[in-house]
Amino acid sequence: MSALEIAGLVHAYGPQRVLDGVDLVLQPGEFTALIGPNGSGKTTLLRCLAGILQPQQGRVAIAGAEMGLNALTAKQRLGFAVDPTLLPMLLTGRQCLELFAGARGLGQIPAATLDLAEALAFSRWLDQEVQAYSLGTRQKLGILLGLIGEPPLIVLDEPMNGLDPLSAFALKQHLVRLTREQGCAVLLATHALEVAERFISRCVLLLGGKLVRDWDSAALAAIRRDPGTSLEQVMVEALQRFGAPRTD
Amino acid sequence: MPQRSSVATLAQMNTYFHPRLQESRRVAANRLRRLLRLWPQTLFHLAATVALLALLGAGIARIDGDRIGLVLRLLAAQPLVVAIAFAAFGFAMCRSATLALRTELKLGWWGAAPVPEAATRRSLHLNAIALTLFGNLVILLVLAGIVLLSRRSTPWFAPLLLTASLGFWLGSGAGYLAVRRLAALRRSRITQLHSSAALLPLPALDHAQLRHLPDWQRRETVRRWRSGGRNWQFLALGLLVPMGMPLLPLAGLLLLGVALIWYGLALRASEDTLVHATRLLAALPLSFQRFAAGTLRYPLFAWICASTLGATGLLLQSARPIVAALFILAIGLGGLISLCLSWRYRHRPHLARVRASAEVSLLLLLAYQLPMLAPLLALAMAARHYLAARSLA
Repeated sequence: MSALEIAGLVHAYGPQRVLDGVDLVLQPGEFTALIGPNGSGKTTLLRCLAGILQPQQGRVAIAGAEMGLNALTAKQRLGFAVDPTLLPMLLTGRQCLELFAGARGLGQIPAATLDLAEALAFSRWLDQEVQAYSLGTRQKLGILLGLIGEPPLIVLDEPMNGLDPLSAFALKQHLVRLTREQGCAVLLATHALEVAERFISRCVLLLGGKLVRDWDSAALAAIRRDPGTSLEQVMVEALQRFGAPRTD
Repeated sequence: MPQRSSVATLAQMNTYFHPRLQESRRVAANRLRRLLRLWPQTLFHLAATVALLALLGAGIARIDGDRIGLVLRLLAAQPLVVAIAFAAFGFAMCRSATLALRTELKLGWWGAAPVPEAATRRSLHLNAIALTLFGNLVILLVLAGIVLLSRRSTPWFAPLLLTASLGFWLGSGAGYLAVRRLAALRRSRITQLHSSAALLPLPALDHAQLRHLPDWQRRETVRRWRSGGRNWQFLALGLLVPMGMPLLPLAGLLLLGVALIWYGLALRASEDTLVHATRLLAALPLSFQRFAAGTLRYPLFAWICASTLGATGLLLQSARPIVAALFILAIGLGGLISLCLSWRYRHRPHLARVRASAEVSLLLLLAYQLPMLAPLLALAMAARHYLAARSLA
């Protein structure tokens, strides 16, 4: 069973069609980077597949459960990192984790989450109120909340923003472990191609509301083997080929 | 070169006032352009507004201006009470508006802009003065409207306007100075003032599967209570206390007033937290029933506390037990409707507030005419909102 199936997804803000018939299937264990220029619809796509936005057309299924028909089951199988601006300022990090653990039907914070908190150097912040956190610390808490319970599909939107290099490395190692050992599929929207390049097994390019390129693990391996090229370069070439607008 | 001259004007303005003023001007211009672009819609809204105003005018024309004038003449005979009441309104309005603007200028997207402190201060002055002038204009228009409706001479007009205006200016000035004083406090002191740690732990309040959600509502309530968000209501309560009131009824009145003020704040904080939690938990596998059960506990606790305090207050004022029971029922039903509306419009909290005000007003009117029917209708409305909220999940 696929970890994620998106078919014919359409979403528009007023007359502006941001997603224009997106199709995507992720298999368990795939670590996929979703790339694309600003305004290409990455965040909208992630919010649609997490059930936060209701798409106008199309279907989303998480590990076999359709978001439109059975949102509760679909969300049970999805981990979505929380936007740091939405965190409750008056609760502590541990209280937030306990709240999410309870909502997922877990009796307590899983040991794996506490281990990841330790790896991200977040443990010392667990009992502090969120209002005392820096941007990077809030980002860490948002990621921990998304990964709690290690569901079959994990979705992260620019998770490396604000993370120090050690924490970013620890997170990437953890995500790779989740895909290889637990069979979780990870979908990660990012601009940091050089960061994604070494860890991902697949990369898709979203442009003008459509997925226009898909690099599988063999294509990525070829890029990695070639010292004269990089994912960044390949993406720039793809953007030029598909006529991405230059706004700078 | 219109662009260059516009930039020059902006630069010149920045030395005197905060560029936020320019921002407001440009936003207003954009809105006007949008209204012109969507002219059929604008025309429809204008026609609807004119029709509503005509209806309102017809309704106002039926008001007995002489009767209101009599009340106002009696009020004008008590200048101190009028002045204090308007001072309280001026204080609340100016304090909250200045605080909101100051926070926006300091922490919002202008926060890091190189704007001179004096320009920010002048802009806050200007905002406070403009608001007070606007408030005075509203007072003048309301009183002038009553003069127009009155068929007799209106000797109360000038003294009442003068007293109200003076009170309003003084209150507004005090509100502005209160914000300035707050700005001068050291950060640690402010943090301490607004601390949200509750005095007593209440683990029984927690929901087994949504731990800390009721605590979040409680802490938000405590934070707002300690930051003095409802101080002006206490001032209004103070105005209700008659001179020479015996001690026991006085304690009862104060208990009732404090219970109502606190209940209103707890309900509002709980509902705001509910809206925030909806966004936070949006991607989680959480059924609406569980979410509702988790967010109901603290408002229920607040209702029990407010009922106990308020009913005790009423009994201390020698009210009959049936009145105390009706009070408990009334605040319970009012809170229930407000909460159900917040669940229903958890993605549009503003609409929830507008509808809550409208529906509670409607129920009060109905309770006046058909007292037996009002609770039933309130329950039916709450049930309808709950079902609608559940269907959205």
